[in-house]
Amino acid sequence: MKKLISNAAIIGLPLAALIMSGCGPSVKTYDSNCNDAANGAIVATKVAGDLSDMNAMAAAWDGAQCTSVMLYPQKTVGTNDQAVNEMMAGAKGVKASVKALYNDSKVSLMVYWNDNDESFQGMTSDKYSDGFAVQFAQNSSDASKLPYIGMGSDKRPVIIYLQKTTKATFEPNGKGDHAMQRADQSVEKFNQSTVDGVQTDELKKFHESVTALGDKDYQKAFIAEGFRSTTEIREAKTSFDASMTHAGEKYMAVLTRDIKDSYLDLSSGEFPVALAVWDGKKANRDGQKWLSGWVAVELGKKDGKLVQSITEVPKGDVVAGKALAVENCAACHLFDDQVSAAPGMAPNLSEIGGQATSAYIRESMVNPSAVVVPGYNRNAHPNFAWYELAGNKRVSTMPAYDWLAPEQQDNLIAYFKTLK
Amino acid sequence: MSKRQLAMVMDLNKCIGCQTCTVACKTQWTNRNGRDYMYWNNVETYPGHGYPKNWQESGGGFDAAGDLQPGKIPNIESDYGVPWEYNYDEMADGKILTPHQEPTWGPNWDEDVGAGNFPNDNYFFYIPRICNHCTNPGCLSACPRDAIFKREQDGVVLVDLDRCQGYRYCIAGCPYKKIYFNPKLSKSEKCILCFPRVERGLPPACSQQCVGRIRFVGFLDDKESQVHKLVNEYKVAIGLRPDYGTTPNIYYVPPVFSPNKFDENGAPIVESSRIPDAELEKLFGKEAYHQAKKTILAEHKKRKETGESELMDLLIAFQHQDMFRLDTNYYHDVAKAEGKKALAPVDNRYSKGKFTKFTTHYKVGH
Repeated sequence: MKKLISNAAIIGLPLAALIMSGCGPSVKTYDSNCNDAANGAIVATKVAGDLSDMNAMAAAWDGAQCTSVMLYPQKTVGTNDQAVNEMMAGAKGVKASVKALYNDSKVSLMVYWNDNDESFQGMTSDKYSDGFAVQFAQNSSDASKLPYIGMGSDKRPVIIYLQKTTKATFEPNGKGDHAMQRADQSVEKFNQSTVDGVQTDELKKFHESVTALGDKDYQKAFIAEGFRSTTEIREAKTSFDASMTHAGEKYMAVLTRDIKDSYLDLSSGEFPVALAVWDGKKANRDGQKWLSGWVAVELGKKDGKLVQSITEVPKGDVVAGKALAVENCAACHLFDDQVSAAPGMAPNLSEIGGQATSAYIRESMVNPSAVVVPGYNRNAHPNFAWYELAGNKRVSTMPAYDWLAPEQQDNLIAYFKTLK
Repeated sequence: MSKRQLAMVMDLNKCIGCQTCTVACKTQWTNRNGRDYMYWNNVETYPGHGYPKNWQESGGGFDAAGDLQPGKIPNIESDYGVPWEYNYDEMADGKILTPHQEPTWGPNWDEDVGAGNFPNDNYFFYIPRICNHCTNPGCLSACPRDAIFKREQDGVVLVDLDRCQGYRYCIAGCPYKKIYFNPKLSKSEKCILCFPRVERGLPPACSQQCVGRIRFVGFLDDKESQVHKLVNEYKVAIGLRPDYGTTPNIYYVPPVFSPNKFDENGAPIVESSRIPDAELEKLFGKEAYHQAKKTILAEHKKRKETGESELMDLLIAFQHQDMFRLDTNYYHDVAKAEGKKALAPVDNRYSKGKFTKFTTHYKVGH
């Protein structure tokens, strides 16, 4: 895919146009009537062939079953950008479909969803790219203690692969090689200069070599313990490839990675992923995106334990749960029709049912400091500290609700799971 | 709050709007690599739209309760302005001089327009603006990635380019709109108070080149420094728009010496002042402005009558070098204490991310 994007960038064509004109006879679209991930897992189909050069048009996808996953707008932490706040106000969930393939060494996921038009960041200050990301939990052996959905949490790291639609407008080589940067206009001037009366094209060549270095796909791998801590993985040790193809008012995005590398071992054949998509037209970037909850992926049919643990909802009384929530939570949290809390006072729970597992909600009630929503910047709201710092440890300012009876907890969880 | 704070004072009574500071900064830092449209230092005419356009109405900063306020992200074409070029080459063929695109906005579009009616009470003054290196920066508070930091050693506010992912909340959060998006790097960049110069004992480029000698630079806690005297002792230098709640560290001596207005016969109205107090109260805060004005006028009078006034001597700045009190030894000591080579940048987070394993002079590696 790297090559495709480079070419597209040089001649300034949108990626899809290039694919349609140059790289394949036709553009396929895929079925969106899929099994619902709320009831099951994304079951990957084993293939014998090579997965190292996958894209959305590959024939192998036809044989893979699809699963639909709901993605909900991220509202937990607010932003201070007026434009995105206005554009995302009232945003509803987005349905994405997922197919998965694997062989002995690699796993490949394709995500497709509706998006009418392509957006590119470009050379301006207030435009944003579309994008998609797949998040893996580094350790999912205990399904009741999965990382926080918003890019992990302390001691529960996640690995994230991000692909954004972009033209090659970034730094010359993406490696921080500032020595190779130069001003276009001065190269132009130098270019006309002569040495001993002979025209020299030395700087022209330099210009070309730097431009070639600049052809870089916006494709990044991150390790994070919460979106405050996101750090790019640059070493070649983690091998992955991602692409986004736009056709028929849909994006088809593919991520392929090794089943096992030094960051992530998926060889148990059963692991959770979370998906995110960004709509550049709505000024999406960072946490302003649509985000799914954890969804189980099974390489072949497994025993379904992980699926059960992720999709489980306690049989509680939703009405009693709401009454409890209004009584105990609404003073600080915004959710549902509850508006008494000041914005920014505590995480917004409006979409929690679509993004958090029951186990996570229970853990957060009983032991609020287990996961402190990480991206919150205390300087922005000095009057509403979500946490205190004990050394490097973040201690939540929310009191523990461990005194609630188990059935009360179940009622609350059953209610929160309806919020989406 | 940082251990020490480097600060700058600009005497607006002396600024002639020559833009030498702007050019000094541009040629030093922003003439390349996606920074081309940025002016880390600009000089704008007040009253006016400013740079970027209408920055004072673009949100950001904090409210009285201390909460970060939502803000806007300016557009390069319509709010910052992009340079246009002329068809000089074609003029040899008899063509008339035309710009390559219709100019609609530029960084100094409304230069010298001002307000009031000419010639009776029209007025304007110049105000050079750089990053305020605030004690409570709006940009820092808006960043969800801890990519902006305030240097412990001298309070300079910097972007950790390794951590920055180009989300641009910082631009919305800065009420002065003095942090910019570099579309080529997809990262935010801003005035660095010329820290590589300052660490070597040189004043920032804008101050070094200032023709009007309006800029003082030094540490606020250095009792001998000019900035300490102007800000803390005489209290004649005030931060811009203190109501934004960021506690800026670039201070201004307000323009209190403005010419008389004219009456209908064209005669000067004695003791009248063209620049309305209300404008300056808005920019500097009512109480602080009037206090500063009172002190400056009193010292001015004293100097006239007795020939003596430390404040007036300071503001005149007989020797350019007397405007700066930098402290190379201090930076050397900090570097030494941290086991670094003296004259290497004291804080290498600017070129090296928090989790970066090694760094060379230019290259960041992992």
